[in-house]
Amino acid sequence: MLSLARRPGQKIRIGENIVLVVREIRGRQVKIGIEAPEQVRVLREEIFEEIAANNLAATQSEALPDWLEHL
Amino acid sequence: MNLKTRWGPLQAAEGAILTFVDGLPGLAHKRWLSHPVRAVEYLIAVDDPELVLATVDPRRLDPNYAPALEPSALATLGANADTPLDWRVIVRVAEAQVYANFFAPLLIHRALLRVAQMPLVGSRYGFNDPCAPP
Repeated sequence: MLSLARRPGQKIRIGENIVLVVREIRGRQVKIGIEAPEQVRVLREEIFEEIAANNLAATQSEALPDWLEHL
Repeated sequence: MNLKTRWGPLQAAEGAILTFVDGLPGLAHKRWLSHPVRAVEYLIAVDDPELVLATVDPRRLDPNYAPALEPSALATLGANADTPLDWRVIVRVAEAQVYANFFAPLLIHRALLRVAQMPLVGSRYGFNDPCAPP
């Protein structure tokens, strides 16, 4: 993994169109601004992980009850 | 295209294959066959037909379901405000209880055969909302 040291106000560019800005550092928390094209999805990692876990769990589903097909 | 699914062989028309434009979190497979059975639309991974997701129209489970559609969602799918899009939620059954993922619905652009999972960050919807027959 690439690690870069940055100060508040400084930026990191990823590719042509994505820019990360260190907005604020307060104690153990860093506030990051993200400029990205509209079609680029930006998510907190923990949300992505929860979606992934739910998608995987859905592939292991028990058989659906009849009522679902007859909604 | 012939697929060997958990229900036996299935003949899939090319027009029934949806592509997840951003991928599907947790699952590497991008192309999924749409296989509707009455109110349930099964999505079957083309590259691994043992992988199946069951989806339904969320408004049939919750008539008040009203996800906010962000402009980025339209851009992701190559749609505009006038494009007809279908919402689906992934459902699963565990210990005989049905759960729906209202937090991260699927948005489908049928004309372009594109689909994306759209997390509703900041909404009241949950990943595992229990569902009962209406």
